[in-house]
Amino acid sequence: MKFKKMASLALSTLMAASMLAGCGDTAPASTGGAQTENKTETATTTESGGETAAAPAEADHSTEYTVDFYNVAANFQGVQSGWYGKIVKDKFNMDINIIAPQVSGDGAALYQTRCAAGNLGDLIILDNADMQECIETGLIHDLTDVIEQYPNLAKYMSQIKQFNSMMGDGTKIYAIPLEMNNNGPTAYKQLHVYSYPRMGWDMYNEVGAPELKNLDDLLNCLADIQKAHPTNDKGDPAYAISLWKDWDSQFMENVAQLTKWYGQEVNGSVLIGTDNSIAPLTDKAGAYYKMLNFFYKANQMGLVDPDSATQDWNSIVSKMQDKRVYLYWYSWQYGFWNSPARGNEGTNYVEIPVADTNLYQTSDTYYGDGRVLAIGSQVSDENFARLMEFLDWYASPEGVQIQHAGTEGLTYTVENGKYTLTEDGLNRFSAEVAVPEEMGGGNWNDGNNQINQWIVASCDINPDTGEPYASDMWSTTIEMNQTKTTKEWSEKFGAADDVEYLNKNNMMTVVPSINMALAIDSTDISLIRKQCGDIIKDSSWRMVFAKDDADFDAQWEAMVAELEGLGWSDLVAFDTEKYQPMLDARKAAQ
Amino acid sequence: MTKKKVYSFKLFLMVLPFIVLVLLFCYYPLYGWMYAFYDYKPPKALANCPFVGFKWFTSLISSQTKINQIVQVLKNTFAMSGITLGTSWLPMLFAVFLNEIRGVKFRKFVQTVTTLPNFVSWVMVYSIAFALFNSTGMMNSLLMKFGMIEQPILFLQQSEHVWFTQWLWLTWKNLGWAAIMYIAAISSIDDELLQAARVDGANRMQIIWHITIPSLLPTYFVLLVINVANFLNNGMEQYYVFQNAFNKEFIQVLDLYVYNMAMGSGGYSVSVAISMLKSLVSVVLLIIVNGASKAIRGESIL
Amino acid sequence: MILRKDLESPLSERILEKKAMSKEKEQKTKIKVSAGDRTLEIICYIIFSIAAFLCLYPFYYIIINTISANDLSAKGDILFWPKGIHFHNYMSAFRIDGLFNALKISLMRTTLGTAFTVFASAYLGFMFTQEKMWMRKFWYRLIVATMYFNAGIIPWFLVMKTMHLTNNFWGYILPAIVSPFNLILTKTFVESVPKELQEAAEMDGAGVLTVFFRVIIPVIKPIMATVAIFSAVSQWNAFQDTLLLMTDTKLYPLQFVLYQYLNQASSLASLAQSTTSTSSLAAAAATSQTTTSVRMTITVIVVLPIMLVYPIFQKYFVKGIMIGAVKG
Repeated sequence: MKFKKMASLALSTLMAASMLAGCGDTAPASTGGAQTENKTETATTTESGGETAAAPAEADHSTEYTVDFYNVAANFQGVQSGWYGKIVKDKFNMDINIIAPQVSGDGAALYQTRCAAGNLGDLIILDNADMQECIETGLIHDLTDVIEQYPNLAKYMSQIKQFNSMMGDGTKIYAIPLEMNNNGPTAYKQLHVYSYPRMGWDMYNEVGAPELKNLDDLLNCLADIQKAHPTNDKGDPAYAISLWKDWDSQFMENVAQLTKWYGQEVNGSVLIGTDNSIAPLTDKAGAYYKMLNFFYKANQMGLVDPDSATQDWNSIVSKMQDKRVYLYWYSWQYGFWNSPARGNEGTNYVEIPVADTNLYQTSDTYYGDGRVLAIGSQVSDENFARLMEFLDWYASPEGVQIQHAGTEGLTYTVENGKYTLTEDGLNRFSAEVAVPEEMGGGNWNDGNNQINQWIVASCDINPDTGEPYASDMWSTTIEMNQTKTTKEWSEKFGAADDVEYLNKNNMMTVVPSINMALAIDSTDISLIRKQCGDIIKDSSWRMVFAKDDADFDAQWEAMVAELEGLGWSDLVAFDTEKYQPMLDARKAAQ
Repeated sequence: MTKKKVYSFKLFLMVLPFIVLVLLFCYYPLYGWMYAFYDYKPPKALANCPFVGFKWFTSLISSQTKINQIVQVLKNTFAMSGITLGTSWLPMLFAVFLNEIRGVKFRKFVQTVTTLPNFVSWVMVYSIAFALFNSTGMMNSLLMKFGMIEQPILFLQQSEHVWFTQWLWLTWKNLGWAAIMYIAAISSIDDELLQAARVDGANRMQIIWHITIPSLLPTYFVLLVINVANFLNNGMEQYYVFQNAFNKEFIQVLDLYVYNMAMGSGGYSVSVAISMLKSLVSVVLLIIVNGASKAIRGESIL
Repeated sequence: MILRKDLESPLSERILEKKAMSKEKEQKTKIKVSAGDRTLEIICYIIFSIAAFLCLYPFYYIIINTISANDLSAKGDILFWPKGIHFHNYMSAFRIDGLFNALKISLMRTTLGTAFTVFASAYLGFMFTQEKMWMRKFWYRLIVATMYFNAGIIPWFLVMKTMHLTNNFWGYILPAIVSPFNLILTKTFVESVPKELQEAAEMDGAGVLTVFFRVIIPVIKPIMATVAIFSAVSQWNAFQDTLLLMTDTKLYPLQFVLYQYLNQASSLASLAQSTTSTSSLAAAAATSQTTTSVRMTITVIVVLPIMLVYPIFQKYFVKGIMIGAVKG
């Protein structure tokens, strides 16, 4: 008897525990009504097959809808708040709840578990190749029958179709590419090229504004600058080149950015050339070796910051702000020093042409940027209609302009159809711009769109103004940014900006940007890739700091030998095959 | 059923709910070990993935280069775990001598602040280390000011003494925290025993040696066993933040090696395979040590 | 040998008695301190002062850096005292959405989780010393072995989902109740308690639960305090489970919200890496707050509460709670 009593006691303890568990269950509304099985055929509208794509009936907004948004691009997890959240809420009665693998220490785990559970989210942003697999496993909603009814999405139909022709059997539409534009596949409309040698205009002139024919001239010029300024004005040691390690993936990122100067881009284990050639990264005649050697020579000349191998990106930021780094390459590094005021003093950093470069520059992402947006297969029909309506707005001129420049009145003003940034608009990223309470309140930056990816790129043309959506490409902004530095630069080099100069002098090749799902690594390949990547990274760093030429070459040889032992040739063969379709598409577009 | 048996079963039933919890949360999910025998790639269901048998277990040693790597990695693992095990009595000593401090305020102060490093994440530790030891950092500035060196020393880039310096960091971070268990154990030592010893004229070193330490030994041995079984599990965070191209050869322990290799979506099956192997090694070590303790000390620890 | 008198008198009385006794003793012993003992103490003071400095300085370094101008801090200029004092870092951290709710969740999971774990560890630690238990060693080892098992994240998640522990507060608590490490610690401690205590109580007719609550709990308080510290700290610091289990923002704990805040600050790096646009405006975002300053601020916010609560636990480590039972 006693035995039974104890058993029942134990059982009831357990039951209590599980009941507690059950009662505490607070599943959000979004998953509540969405437990229908996978539906690939949707029945949102009945007469969608007709020729005329009639606008779909407005979706019902009466109930609040929390959209679970699985987003590999987001750097924020949680419900979108602030001014952008308010716009979405007012228009669609939706809360966007972002689930961000990037925010986790272990994004792979999040992906694995959510896939295993069969529900990634209501809206989903993934890399092309992952999307392809999710479509095959039935995690993605079919958009074929409805998408053309949405006028703003329909504007990008040719790009959308192009991408989806590679998905599934190629006849259906599942996913929408991101960052598309309608400027044409080979258009390049940016203000500055992405990677190029950049120096302080005053310093370059101080050492006699030498004409740079090649990398040796560049190094000598940098050496002269460093000799004249071994420290910054405050007396902190300064170097021509300062590197950082925490962005390295399967190679040394700093080197990989510089290979573009000489017509090759590092993609996995191969170098892809402006001439559509493919060579292994370990090609001694290739740009990776060349640029690694450039850093090595720089170090031999004492131009490389000795902390380079141990510091991270944050340390570099403060060094750039203190003018302790004399060579930039990324265009956005300007943000750490340049300003209109400094431009007028003539100390802004600018591109300095090196005559023998052939810059590898991809065109604007006409077809999309490699990530795609889709709707989860488990959403209910009503919610599906609401999501499509939201996406159409997201691609509309109104939605895109809000995305790229904020809201009228606060961040910009309109006069005679011309948009002009306000003071707040200019400083919206760098200062604390307060948003009025009726627009959502809080700080502008905190309330900015956290989806961090958009269907339409900022270089696309706003039909209302005839200018790009991007606020720094408005004619009013460009006017504002004319300074002594830019004027002197244009005078000396005889071009309005670097893009024009490099084009004119055949020092740059714009390769069409292609958006397709390339082959995914098998597990074997991905293991080889990881292990080889580690060897390449470590060897590269050691080679930059090699003792002498012999040491440099010996380490290169040792690296190549070790890579062979790990299956490097398989990897190169895989990548060569992987990128071939992209090169074919490029040739077709050129 | 005899009364004795009923009682024995009743005792079991009293812990059954907790055993059920353990079975549910720890044993039931072990079916996931079968992922190790597949080439699993999300988002596909496991059933649609190819079965590969022991491929991932053998892939670790499939080429000479990989064997060389594994050997070096195991060397590092053994060295770092070995040093840690060899100095595992430090927290105990720390607690014992802290207990000898008579000023209660000072003792509590030390006890509190020495746990602080435990709460500072490794990433943060590295930021501090970088601030102190970079080429213009405090250490180099001081050394250069006193003319002890001409050129800054790149401390974080050194490939010598990596095992030792990593142990120093680890000890700094963990010592105070690990001592808590011993501080608790000391507080349970019988006062009368101490009193009796004092009456007998024992000095403090003698009391420490004959009373305090022996009464801490059970805790010490249990922790030792746990640590021995954890031999292969150094964790990776510390080594991950401190690794760079120059010290990689000596800093890469097994956990870091696996992380460097399998990080990302490609390696789920591989990492399950390795964690299976590690579980196996741990349990075997546990059994061996426990058996050894039974043979030597006459009682098993677990 | 056992002092029955102690068992009969109420516990509080006994403690008071003990405290009086130990005070008396301390006064007595203070008088006769030998030279050797004095040297020992001096050495201890020196060593522990150094240790305290080594541990305290980095934390001091973090604090002065969070209130100093961020650009000086990023440069590594702030080493001994703050410069350009401001509280901007803390103000922006305290402005995070849902911070208050997250704090509530953190406090709930810490207190509840700790209470469950402490109780379970003490209870199981005691029960597993009961040699009469059916297959005692087997069950004990069954639990201990889980310390070394790792099933992988997918089956674990699916189990949690099947049990409706996703988007459910109990998902934080239930898996943490039985903690093998804490169990081992407690059991070892209970074993050092003289068996005679239990036997005496049983002779007086006490059942096993009565023994546990009235005899064992009072004497194992130091180890319960230890387990409480370990468990509270791990609950307070945990955030990886949130990422996998919870999408409901109302269930986010403080650590998770702060971690997310840190990621936003470091988002610039990934933004710059992925973007092809040349918007240099975005780069300026990094100037107002650096990742390092955010990380330091978060460290302070997270550690300070622990440091405030820790001394409360410390009082359980004070000598003299153990009953005056004598063993061998």
